[in-house]
Amino acid sequence: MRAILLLFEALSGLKVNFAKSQLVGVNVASSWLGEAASMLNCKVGAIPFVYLGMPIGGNARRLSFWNPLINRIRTRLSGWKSKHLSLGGRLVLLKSVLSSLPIYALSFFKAPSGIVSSIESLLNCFFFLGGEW
Amino acid sequence: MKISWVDWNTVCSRKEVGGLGVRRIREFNIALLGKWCWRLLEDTDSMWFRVLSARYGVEGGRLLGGGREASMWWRDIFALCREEWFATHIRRSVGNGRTLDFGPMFGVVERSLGSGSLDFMI
Repeated sequence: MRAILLLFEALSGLKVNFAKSQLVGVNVASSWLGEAASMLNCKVGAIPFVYLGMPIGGNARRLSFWNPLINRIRTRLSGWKSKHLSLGGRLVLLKSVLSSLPIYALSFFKAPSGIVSSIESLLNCFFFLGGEW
Repeated sequence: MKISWVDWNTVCSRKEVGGLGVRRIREFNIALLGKWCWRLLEDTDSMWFRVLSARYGVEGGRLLGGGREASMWWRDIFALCREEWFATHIRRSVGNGRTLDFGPMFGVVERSLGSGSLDFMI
C-alpha cells in the first residue's frame, strides 16, 4: 500500500501527508487496520467521515446527518451584525451567501422535509428579524 | 424601521411576479438531483454510471433500483428519477432529431430536454 502511494508521489509530484491521512477499512479486521495505520504513520478513521466537506457513509434520511450544514449556516449568521444591515443588504447576503452554502450537499443528497423547513426558517428569521429567534 | 412581513413563498417567487427571487430549497434540491438522473441516462461512459451499473445492474440502458439492498443514497436518487416530472420532460431522439439515415445501421441515440420544461428557480 505504501509502495503504491510512493509511486503515486513520484509520478504526480504530489506528496501525501500521512499525519493528516486516515485509513478506513471496509470489512477489514480492526487489528489489521491498526497495524497498517501505524505502519503508514496515519490515523484509523471510521465511517461516517467527512471528505471534501461532504459526509461519507452517513444516512441522509437522518436529521443528525444534516447538523453540520445547519451549524455552518448558524455560525455564518452569528458572525454577522445583521441588525445593522438594511433589508436590501440582508437580501444580498441571503441570496449570495446563505442559499449557496447548502448547494454542494443538496447536489448529492435528498434533504428530508424537516431539514428543508429548518433551513428556510433560519433564512426567514435572518431576513425579516435580522437574527435568530 | 418597521417592516411588513411577507409570506416566504412570495419572497421566493420571481421578481417579475412580485417576489425577491430567493431560491426555494426543496425545488433547488430536486433540480440538482435531477442532474444525476440526466447524467445517468446521458453519460453512460462516466465512472458513476459504471460503478452503479456494476453494483445494481442495467436493463434497457437504464440502471436498476436494487430494491431493499440498495444504499439509502441510491434509493433516493432512483425514486426521484422514476418520478413523473422527469419522465415527461425528457425525450429520446434518433439521428439528429429531424432526418434519419438508415445507411449504416447505427443511429446515435440522444436524449434532450424539451425547451422551457423545467420551471424551477435555479
